[in-house]
Amino acid sequence: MKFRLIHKLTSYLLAGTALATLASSQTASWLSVAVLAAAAILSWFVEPDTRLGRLLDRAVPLLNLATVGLFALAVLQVVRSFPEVDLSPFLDFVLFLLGYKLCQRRGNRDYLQIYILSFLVMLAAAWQATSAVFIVGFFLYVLLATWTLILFHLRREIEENYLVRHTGDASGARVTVTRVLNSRRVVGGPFFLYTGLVATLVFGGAALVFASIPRVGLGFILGGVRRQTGVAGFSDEVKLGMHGVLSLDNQTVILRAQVPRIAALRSDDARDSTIASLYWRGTVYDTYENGEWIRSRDEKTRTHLSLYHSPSNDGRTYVLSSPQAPGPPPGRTAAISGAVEQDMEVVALTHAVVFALDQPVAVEMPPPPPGAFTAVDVEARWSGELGLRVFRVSPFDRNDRRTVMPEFAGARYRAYSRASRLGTDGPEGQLLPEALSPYLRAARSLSPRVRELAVRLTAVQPSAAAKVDAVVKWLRATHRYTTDLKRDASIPDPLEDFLFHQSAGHCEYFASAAAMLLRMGGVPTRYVNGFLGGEWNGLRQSITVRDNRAHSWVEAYLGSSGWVRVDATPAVSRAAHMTRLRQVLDAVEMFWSRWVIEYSASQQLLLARQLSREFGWLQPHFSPRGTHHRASRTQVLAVAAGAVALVVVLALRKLPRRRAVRSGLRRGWRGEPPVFHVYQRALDRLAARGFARRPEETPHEYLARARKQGVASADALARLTECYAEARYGDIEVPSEVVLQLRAEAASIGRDS
Amino acid sequence: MIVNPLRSRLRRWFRPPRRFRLTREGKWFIGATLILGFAAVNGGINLLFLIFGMLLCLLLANGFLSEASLRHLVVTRRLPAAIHARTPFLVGIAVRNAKKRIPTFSLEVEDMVAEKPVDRRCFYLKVPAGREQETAYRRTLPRRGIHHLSGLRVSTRFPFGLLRRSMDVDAPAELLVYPALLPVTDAVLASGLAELNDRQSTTRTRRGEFESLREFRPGDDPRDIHWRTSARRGRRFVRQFEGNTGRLVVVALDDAQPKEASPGGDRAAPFEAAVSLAASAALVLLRQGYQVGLATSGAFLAPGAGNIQASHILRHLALVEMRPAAEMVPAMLPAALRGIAVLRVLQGPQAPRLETSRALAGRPS
Amino acid sequence: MGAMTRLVPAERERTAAELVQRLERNIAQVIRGKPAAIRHAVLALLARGHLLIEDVPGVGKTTLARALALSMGGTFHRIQFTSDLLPSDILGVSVLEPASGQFVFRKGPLFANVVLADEINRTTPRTQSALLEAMNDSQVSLDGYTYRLEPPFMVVATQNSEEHYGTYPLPESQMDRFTLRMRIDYPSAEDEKGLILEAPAVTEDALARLQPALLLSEIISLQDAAARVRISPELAGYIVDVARETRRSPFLALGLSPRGELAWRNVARASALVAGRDYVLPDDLKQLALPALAHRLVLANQLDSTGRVREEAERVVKDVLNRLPVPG
Repeated sequence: MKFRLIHKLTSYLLAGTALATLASSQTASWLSVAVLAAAAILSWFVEPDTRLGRLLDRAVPLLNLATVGLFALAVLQVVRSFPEVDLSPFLDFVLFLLGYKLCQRRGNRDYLQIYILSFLVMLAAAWQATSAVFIVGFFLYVLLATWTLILFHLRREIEENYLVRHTGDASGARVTVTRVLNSRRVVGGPFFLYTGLVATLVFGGAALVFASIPRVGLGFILGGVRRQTGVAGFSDEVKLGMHGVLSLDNQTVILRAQVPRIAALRSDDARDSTIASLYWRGTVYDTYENGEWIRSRDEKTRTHLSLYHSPSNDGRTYVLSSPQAPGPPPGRTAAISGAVEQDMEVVALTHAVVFALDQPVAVEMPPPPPGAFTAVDVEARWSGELGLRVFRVSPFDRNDRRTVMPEFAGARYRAYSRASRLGTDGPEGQLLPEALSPYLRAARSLSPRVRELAVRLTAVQPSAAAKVDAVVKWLRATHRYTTDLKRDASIPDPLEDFLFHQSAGHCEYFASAAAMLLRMGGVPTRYVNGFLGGEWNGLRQSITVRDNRAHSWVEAYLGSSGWVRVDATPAVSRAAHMTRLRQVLDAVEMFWSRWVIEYSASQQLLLARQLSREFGWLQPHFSPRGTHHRASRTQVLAVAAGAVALVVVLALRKLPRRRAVRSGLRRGWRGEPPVFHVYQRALDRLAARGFARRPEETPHEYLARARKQGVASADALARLTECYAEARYGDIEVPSEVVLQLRAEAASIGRDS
Repeated sequence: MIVNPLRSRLRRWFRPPRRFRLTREGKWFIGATLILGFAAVNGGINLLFLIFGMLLCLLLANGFLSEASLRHLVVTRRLPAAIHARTPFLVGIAVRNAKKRIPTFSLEVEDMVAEKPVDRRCFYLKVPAGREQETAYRRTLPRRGIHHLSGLRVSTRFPFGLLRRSMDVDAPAELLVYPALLPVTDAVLASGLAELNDRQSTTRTRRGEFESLREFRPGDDPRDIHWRTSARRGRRFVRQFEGNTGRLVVVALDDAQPKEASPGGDRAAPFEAAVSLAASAALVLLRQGYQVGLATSGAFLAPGAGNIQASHILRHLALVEMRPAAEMVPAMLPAALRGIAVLRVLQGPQAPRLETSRALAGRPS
Repeated sequence: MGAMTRLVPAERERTAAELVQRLERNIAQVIRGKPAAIRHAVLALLARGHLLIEDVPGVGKTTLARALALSMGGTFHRIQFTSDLLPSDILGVSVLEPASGQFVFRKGPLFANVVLADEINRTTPRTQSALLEAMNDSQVSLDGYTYRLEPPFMVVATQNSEEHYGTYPLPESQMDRFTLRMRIDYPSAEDEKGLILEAPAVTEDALARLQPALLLSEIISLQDAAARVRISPELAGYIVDVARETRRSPFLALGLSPRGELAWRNVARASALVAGRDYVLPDDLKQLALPALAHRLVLANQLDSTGRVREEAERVVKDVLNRLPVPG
């Protein structure tokens, strides 16, 4: 293939790879990506001398105007988004510019701009990417960048050197350049093979750098909070009618659980059916008003925890208890004996919550790894909900937890749960009525007919359980499940709308309806958000729960049974078994998110410890106690500054001190003789004084005009012009001492003495 | 301008033969890398570290690949046969890639004078493994004399153009630059010398009357060797014929320092002009079949013919220096050459001029 | 060389400059006050070209040509072109020699070093083309034989710019064959007065007594030296740019041809040589642009009067030069 064509091809592939990576990271809107892809494909056929090219040429002023306009718009949007800076308008602008540049490929400078723009696109993708597909895109990008940069360099060298003055023949030179660019023998297969090898090494090196650069945490240098990477649809608020929970396409993994009891099941069917009915309890709400569920934060609803020490791994165990329950709170061993164990791994979410199987009784947090900067701990919230908090930990005293960190990067813990079903003895015995009063509050936004309906359904029932049954049956009979919501705006409360006007809704509606109806029927209820079911991953013997399994249900207090789960939503079956491919991908994703996306200092230290154990290096040891953790930050900064200074000194030492630079004779970057530079500087000086040389003037004509004008030191200019003309038109070398003299004289040209 | 060998060795110690320098693009690249590193560390975004690593490794790869590119290269210089001042000449630079499999791309070779490069670059786009490529650069030297070339600088910006790595090769060479040539029309010479030749015999045959013996010079006809004298003296001697005498000319150069400066303000200009004229005249005469000798105040070159004599004369004229007036030593011509034609090259304020006369032995003419 | 070294121009060219000065001084003895005209003539000679003098009558065209010929020691013939002139009248004819019974070629007046083709626009196109062909080839082909025109060979043609009754003005393609077009123009008032006060015999006498200043061989070597003058690729590009610009100009129907570019280059080289340089400066090109280019251009709207055409063409050339940037 012709050299020129190969270069064009690799450049396009580079831009395409960056674009594809951006698309896979779901940072930019599909529309802009698709438009850009179409424009890129079209632009392949646009060459400066084709008809399309000429058409485009005429549109250039318009396009330039559009560029400026779009830039201003982007700036405006970004400024308007303060203080939560959202840089995505800039990304759109960069995409537009990339498309424009691809259509306007002319010379090397345009290609360079295309490379810079695709690099920016790649940066944007790296900023937001969470999936492992990025690594594929990144590898391709490294490979193509290596090829493209080499070809670009060769092309630059060809054009620069074959057009150099002293090859003698200007028209011949242009022909030579074209001939070489069209040659097929410049680069061939082995070339790409070897450079591909180099690219692979670069890739490996990049991974090495990635692993070894110390992670010092957010805002280490400038202090600043990064936007949370949480893309999960699971949200902390429940607003009926807002699609906060349900996005069936959202494949983001929320949690992974290893449940030994389920792993022990031999039969696939048994396991699948068990998994399908796993309810992962997350957030709990007690008050409903006008389409919204909130936590009242009533003290009566507060979760109570008792903290115990875990002997097995030196961690902390939190056991849930209720102060109103009779008897002392259960001890650790008592609480967890017989409970279902789950090893949970929760990914980074906007809202950090302990997920556990319905009903959780205890949560065990492992200790932070030695030398880690952060630790996750459990905090008590309301209605049996447990939250997760991230603390900055002093490496020397692991119990010293003072500062709360805003970012939540995931957590691992072990949860213990007892299943709650109708009829079994729940962990909570009788609760006093005062404790239950928040859970009986009815909403004021509902009109009386709701209460009428509730009474109608429940009055005849003998027991609370029967009431629950009746309400659920009625709901399932009268409404069906859909995610496509319709809303009658004339009814203020969406729940009422659902009950009386709409015939379908999703789980939020069913759960809210059940909760309110039961409350109005006298049964205390609370609203739970969580996940239902999961996918079995045979490779890792774990259950993967994705965002699209988000679910809402109700917990009803049934007296001696305590809080019992009630799911009013009609059943929708979902496949629980992952294909083999899916399992592999899931495993890869898990690895990716743990070891790349959430790679942190603690993991680095872990890795370092493992390596040091293998290679017997010196273990990283810390300075003696007493140093504040702020001091350690200064230490690290000092070390970093020292390293940078060392690199700079090394680099400078290698720079050659060329005599030419010292004596002040600078050469033009194309290797022009120094006298050109001296002449040009003198002209610039004169031009600054208002006596510029006109482009159609020859140097001697200019000199004559200068003399007539009475420019100072015209003689010096005359000597300079002579030497310059000899060098420029006569190709005669000017001895360097002469040039130095001219340079000294040139300072006086034009200066009024 | 003989470079002190110790000094050059010291210089080479402090400045390693292989060096690299960041190009303009390289500086921008490093700037972007550092900014990215800052952003990655500050923002805590892990994937940015990956990209930072890629940029760093690309820079390192540039360093390594350019180093590999410069290895096992043999660079030689091919000089032309004769170089005259103010006349362009071509210098060939041949690059041989001694590697077995890896070609060398985008190589630039510069000639160096006293460790400083001359601004003529030879460019080689691709030298395949095991092959040699030669290209030439054109240069014009303004002055005659000895011109030293110290070495060659081989540099490359391959592969990414971020670093320029160069390597200095020792290739000392001495260029002997002959004087610039002037167009001397035959008319000038012919008219002057014709007068002198008038008095000689006009026979066209080679053999005239036997006149004298002189030592054998390469280019002489071996049939002219006088064997008896040669056997006696142990060296070869030839018979000098009148016809040959008639075609003998000595170019005498007036190499005194000029008394007044020429209008251009350069004191040496008339002398240089005279030297150029002497060289040009000698070449023309040689071409015409004369045997030409050279006489300056300090030296005498016996007349001879052929290319070798031309190079002797040119060499001499390339190196001749002005003699201050006080040291003026009259040119002595050997007795054997009494009576031959002398072409004097005299300096003049505007231009040098030629004068013809006949040599009187023992005295300058 | 501690002090400032003034760069000395190359020696050989200085000699050339002096030779040319000698020539010009010689000619100036009989042509007073017209250094530019003499210079142009000499440049055309050194560029191995031909000269076209378009001028009013009686300003000394013949004198210039004859003086040039004499100054270089060459032969001079004057051909007065009339409407009944045949090609054989200028080229020569083969005559039968009764003594040997062979045809012998008798050379026509064209066989000289300087030929003055006076009033070339008075003769038929056939004769014009015979002359121009000989100029182009530097040889005459007749009856299967080729007779070389000995170098240096230069034709000085004259054309009366105002007159056009009963004339055959040279077509554009033929104008292209002349390296330079110049005018001598009326002398200055003083010179005119001086001319009148002088006895006419003095002028003719001066011409008759004119001695050669240079040899023919020197002229030839000067021509060779001029051909060796270097021109940088940038300036070559400049020439091409000017030519392209003239071809693009809306005022011109016909722009500069490659032959014109070469002629311009040759005459610029000669100018550089005369100035004592071995390389061409853009000033050489610009200063000779009008004489070298204006007559080769054909205006888009050809006006009747020849004089206006000339000014118009010169204006276009000036305009192009002012618009194009000079390299360097």
